[in-house]
Amino acid sequence: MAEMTVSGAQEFAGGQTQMRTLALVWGALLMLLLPILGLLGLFMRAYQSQILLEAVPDVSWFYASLTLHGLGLVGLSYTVSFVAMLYVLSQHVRLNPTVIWFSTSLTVVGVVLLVINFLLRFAPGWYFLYPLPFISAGGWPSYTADIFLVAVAVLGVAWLLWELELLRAIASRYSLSQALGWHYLKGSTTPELPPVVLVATVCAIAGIIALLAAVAMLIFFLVHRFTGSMVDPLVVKNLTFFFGHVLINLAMYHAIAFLYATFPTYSGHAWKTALPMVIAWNCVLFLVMFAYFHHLYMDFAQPRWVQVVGQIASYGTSIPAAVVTILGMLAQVYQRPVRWTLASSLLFLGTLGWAVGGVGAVLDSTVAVNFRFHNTLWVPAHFHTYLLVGLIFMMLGFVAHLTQELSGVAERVGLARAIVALLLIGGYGFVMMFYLSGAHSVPRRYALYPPEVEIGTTFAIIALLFVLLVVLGMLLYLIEVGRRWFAAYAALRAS
Amino acid sequence: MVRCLCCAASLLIGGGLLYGQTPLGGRDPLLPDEGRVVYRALPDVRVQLSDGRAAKLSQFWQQRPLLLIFVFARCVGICSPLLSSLHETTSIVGGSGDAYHVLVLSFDPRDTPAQLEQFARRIGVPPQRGWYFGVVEPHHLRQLVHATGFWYTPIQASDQFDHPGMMVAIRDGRIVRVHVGGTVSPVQFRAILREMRGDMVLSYPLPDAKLVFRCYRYNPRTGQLSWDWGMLALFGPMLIGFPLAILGFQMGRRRRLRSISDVCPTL
Repeated sequence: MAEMTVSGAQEFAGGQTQMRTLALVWGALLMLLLPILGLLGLFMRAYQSQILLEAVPDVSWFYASLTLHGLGLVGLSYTVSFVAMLYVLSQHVRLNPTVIWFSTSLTVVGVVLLVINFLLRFAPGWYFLYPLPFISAGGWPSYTADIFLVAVAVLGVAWLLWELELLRAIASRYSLSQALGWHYLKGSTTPELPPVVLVATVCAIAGIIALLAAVAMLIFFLVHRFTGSMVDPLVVKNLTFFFGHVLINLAMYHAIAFLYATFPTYSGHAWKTALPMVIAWNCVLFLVMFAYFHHLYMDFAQPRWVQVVGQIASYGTSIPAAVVTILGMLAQVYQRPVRWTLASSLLFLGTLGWAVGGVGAVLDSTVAVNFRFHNTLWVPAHFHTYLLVGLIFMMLGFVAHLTQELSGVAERVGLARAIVALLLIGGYGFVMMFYLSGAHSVPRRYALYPPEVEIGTTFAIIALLFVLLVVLGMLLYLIEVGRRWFAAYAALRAS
Repeated sequence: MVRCLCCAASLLIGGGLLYGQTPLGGRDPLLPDEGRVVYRALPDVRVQLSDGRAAKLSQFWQQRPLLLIFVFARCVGICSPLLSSLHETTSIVGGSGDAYHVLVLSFDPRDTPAQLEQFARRIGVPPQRGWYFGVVEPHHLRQLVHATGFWYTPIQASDQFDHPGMMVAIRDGRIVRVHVGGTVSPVQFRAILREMRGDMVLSYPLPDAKLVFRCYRYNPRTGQLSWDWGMLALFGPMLIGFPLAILGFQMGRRRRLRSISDVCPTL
C-alpha cells in the first residue's frame, strides 16, 4: 500500500510538472498572440481615425481585422483562462496531460487556419452570422468559407476534448452532488469542496453543452455548404450565440476559478466554498444557457417570452459576479495586508474591470436599453471593459503569477507599477471613448463614419492615444514577464 | 487498399465541395438598390406642375411625407401598370393628401406636365387629392436620378426608355424606402406609409415554407407563432449535455470505488 501511495504521488507530481509546462507554453502563446491581435484593434481605431486612408485604401482589411481580432481574442481568452484554471485545479484532481497537449496542438492548427483566412481577407465579422460567410459579394474567395468551417471544426473538437477530460478528472474524485456542492445546501461542509472544483464543474458541464451547440451550428453550415440550399438563419443565429455567449462567459468563469485559488496567496486569507457561493454557481449553470437570448432582441421573429427569459437569465447570471466574487474580493482586500505585486494588482483590477463591464452588460441586456444602444459603439464599450480591462488583465496576472512562482525571480517594483498604471489609464481611456461614442449614437462595425456621426472620428483619434499607452504598458510587461518566463522555463527544465 | 480508400474519400469530399458551390440567388444588378440610397438627402429642386404652379420639393416634404414616382408620358411598358396599381392601392388604403403626397415626375425631357397628366388620365388614373404631376429641369433631373439610384436608357429603335419601375418614399427630405417593381400591394404600401411616418417597420426575410428545421412557424392570418423542429436543435445540446455529464460522473463513480478498494481491499 505504501508503494502504491509513493507511485501515486510520483504520478501526481509528474502530472503537475506537465501542467506547469503546459501553462508556460500557453503563457508564451498569450504573450505572442495578444500583442498581434491587439495591434489589429489598434489598426481598426487608426482606420476609423482616417489616418490610414491613403496607406490602406482597401477597406476590406478593416473588416478582415475585425473578424480575426474578435474571433482571436475570444478564443485566446477562453483557452488561456482554461489553462489557468487547469493549473490550479491540477492540485486537486489528476488531469491527463496527453489529452490537454493534443487539444493544444489542435487549437494551434485552428488558429493557423484563421490567420490564413485573414490574409485572404475573410471578413464576415467575428459573429460570422449565417449566411454571411457564404456571401462574400467578391470580398473574399468562396473557399475561405470552407477553411473557416474546417477551423471551427478543429477548434470545436479540441475544446470539446478538453472539456470532457476536465469532467472526467473531476468525476474521478468527486460525485456530481459533491462537485456541485449540493451537500452545502443540506448544511454539511464535508467533504470540503475547493471553490476551483465547484467552478470547474460548472464550466465543464456548460462548456460541453455550448460545444454541442457549436456542433449543431456547424451541421447547419455544412448542410448549406453541401446542398447549396438555405437553412433557417434564425436557428443558426440562436445556435451561434448559444455557443459564443456561453463560451465567453466560461472564459470569465475560468479566470474567476483561478482567482479563487490564487488571490489568497497574496492576501493571506483563505477563499473557501460557502453556501451563497454554491447557490450562485448552481444558478449560473442553469441560467447561462438562456442568457444568450439578449443577443437576439432585434430579431422580432423570436416570441416575446423568449426575450423576457433572456432578460431574466441575463440578470440572473450576474449573481456570482455581484454577490459572490466581488464581495468575496472586497473581503480579501479590506483591511488586510495584501502583498501587491504585478500579478495580484492585475488580478484585482481585472475583477474591477469585470464588475464595471458586467454592470454595462446587465444594462445592455435590458430590452429598453438594448433597443436604443444595440447597434452603437456602446456595445463594444461594455464588452471591451470586461474583456480588456477585466479578463485580459486577469490573464496577464495569471502569466505574471505563474512565471514568478516558477522562476522565483524578484520583481522590479517600479517597473511593475509603471505597467499597471499604463495599462489601467490606457485601458479605461480607450473604453471610455467607446462609451462616449455610443452616447453620441456612433454606429458600430463602421470602418469610416458618415458626416452625421463624424464625432466618432474624433473619439477614435483620442482612443488611439490611450491605445498607445496600452501598447507601451504591454511592451514593459513583455520585458518584465518575458525575463521571468525564460527563467521559469530554465528552472522547469532543470527540475 | 488504403490508397483506394483515400482516393475514394478525396473524390467524395472534392465532389461534395464542387456540388456545394451552387451560388445563391443574388439580386438583379439592374434593379435599384435601396441599401445604397436609404437615408440619403434629396436635392431641393424646382418642379413645374400640371396645374401651372411651380414648387420646390421641400414644399411637399415639409407638409407631409412624399412619394416620388418616375415615369414618362409615351411609356408603353411598366409605367402604366405601376401607376394603376398605386392608384388602386391608395384608393384602398386611403390617406392621400392627408397622410402623404404623391408626386409623379417625368424623366423624359420632351414631356410637359400637361402631357403627363393626360397620360395618367388615359390609363385610368384621374387627378385626385394629394396627387401631383410635374417635370423638372434636365440638370435637376440628373441630380434627382443620382440621389435616388434611378436610371433610364433611351432605346433608339422604339423611341422608348429602358428603366425600372420605382417609387421613392421621402420623409423630411430623406429617402426612407425604395420600392421596386411594376405593382404595389396594400400590404407593401402600408409598410411604406409606416416608414414614411417614422414608425419602426420590422423586416425579416421569411424562409421558404418547405424549409425544415425552422425555429418557429408564423401564421400571418392569426399572427400566431408555433414551435417548429428547429427548436429541437436549440434544446438538443442541453438534452444531450446534461445526461452526458451525469453519465460521466456515474462512470467516475466506478473509478472512485475501484481506487478505494485498491487502497482498502476489504471494502
